[in-house]
Amino acid sequence: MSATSTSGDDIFVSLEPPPLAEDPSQTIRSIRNLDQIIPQISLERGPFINITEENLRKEIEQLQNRDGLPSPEEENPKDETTTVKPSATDIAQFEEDFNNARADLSRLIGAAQNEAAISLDFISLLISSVRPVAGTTSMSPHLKSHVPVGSLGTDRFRPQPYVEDMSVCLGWKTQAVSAATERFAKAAGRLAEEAEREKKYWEQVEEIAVCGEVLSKMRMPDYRGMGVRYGFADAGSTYKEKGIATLRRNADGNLVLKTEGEKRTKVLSVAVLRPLDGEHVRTGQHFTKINYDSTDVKTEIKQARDLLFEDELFFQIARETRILASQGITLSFGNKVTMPLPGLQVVLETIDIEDQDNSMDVDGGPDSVIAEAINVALHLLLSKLHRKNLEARRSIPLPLGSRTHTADTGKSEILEPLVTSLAVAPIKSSLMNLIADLMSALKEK
Amino acid sequence: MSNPAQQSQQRALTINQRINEAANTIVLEYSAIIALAPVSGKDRTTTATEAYEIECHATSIVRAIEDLLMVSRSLKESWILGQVSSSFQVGDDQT
Repeated sequence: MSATSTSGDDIFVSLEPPPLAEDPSQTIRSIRNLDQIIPQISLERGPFINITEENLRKEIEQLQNRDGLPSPEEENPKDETTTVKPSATDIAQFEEDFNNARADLSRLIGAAQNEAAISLDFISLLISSVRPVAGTTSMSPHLKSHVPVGSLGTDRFRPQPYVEDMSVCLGWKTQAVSAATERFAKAAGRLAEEAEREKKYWEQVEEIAVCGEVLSKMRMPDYRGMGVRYGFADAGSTYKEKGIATLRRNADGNLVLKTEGEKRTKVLSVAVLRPLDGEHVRTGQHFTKINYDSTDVKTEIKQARDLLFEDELFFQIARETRILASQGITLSFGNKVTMPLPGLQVVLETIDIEDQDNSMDVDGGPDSVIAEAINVALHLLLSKLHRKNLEARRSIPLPLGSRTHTADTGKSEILEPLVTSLAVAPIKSSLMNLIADLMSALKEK
Repeated sequence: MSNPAQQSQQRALTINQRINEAANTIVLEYSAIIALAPVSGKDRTTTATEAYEIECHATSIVRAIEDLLMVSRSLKESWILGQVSSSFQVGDDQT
């Protein structure tokens, strides 16, 4: 179908082909696309509001009477061999088409109604600025609650007779175009810098990745970027600690490691005291020195890891003092564990590595070797505990009935081996002495 | 729970889409600016509105380029997490 419009001197002709003619071999007219029929109808007969059933019936009768043609259902009678009665499949198809068409029609009517309601809202909002009463009565409650009444205004605009002001227009255009150019130039510089910074950042991230650290993509609400795992959960640690640090990029493209919460500073220190003149005197001390320079990100990660390890170690030790309280091990001030053993006393406490006061008598005393050995042993025992946890996790869990007692207190994995190994020799020797005395006493008899 | 191959395929598709979209935007907006440039035969109102339109198109071009930067960043993220099948293998070179 073609339409002509007379705006200016142009005539618009549609290049759409007209809809195909009815396939004459079909005995039943199938419902064509509503998209084609409805505009055709509205063109030929005007708006639907004028079409009623009565009119249609009258038209059909007129058509029949005038032309003497058979009723439209039998458009192509052809010869008697063609079935006059439509087959069942045709009827089914027809019904399906009909239902689809009806569904389409109701959908389109709904859409039209929606659009009419929207136009009504628009017009009433316009009116409400001039005549508030008339406007508000026809506005929908939804619009009234969202838009204040009278907030849309109109004015009549008479298009001025054509004034072509070359100088002003040229000036504005050149201004606009040069502003665009400047914007591009500035953006180019800025984005080039940004790309440089990104490049530097990613080079540094790659350095870390190549060393075998585990990276991950963080999707926290306030940070989306790369993160690195410095915790031991994969190694079997059950300490409550997320163990993941964010790798942020600061203003000049450098990598900044940021751990969650406060940075740790405590390190375990082992001190050996011997009784001297009735008092205990420190004869040796040892703690792991963690250098605190924070320039290289790799050392920062290692540092975070070491400090986490120390933290967990002291946590386990403090927990186990309760279990081994029968051996005389005490915990005082929340950070000092005292182990009285025959012949010496071992004190485990946490010290702050920022505190430089302890650098004095670190390697001096004669028993510092023992202290170092104890320190190393404690670290190794914690690793052993981790591995044990990992094995327990990997093994097949026991059936539900036999898991009646959970290991709340648990065994002392770290202090007990230490205590036993340190104390076994003196105890054994004193026991041997006792037995030897008893035997000699019995022999004399 | 799609397997890694499907996921990487999906990612490749998204990234290609974004790149295409950004490139299209840049070309379209730029040609729109060029189309708005001629000054003959228009009155003042039209010229003023067109000046504003040119500014809008310029801004969307810059935004499209920033989107491309974001695309490159997400590519780098996927690459370093080993989700890109290439010759880069972490730790294999250190022996």
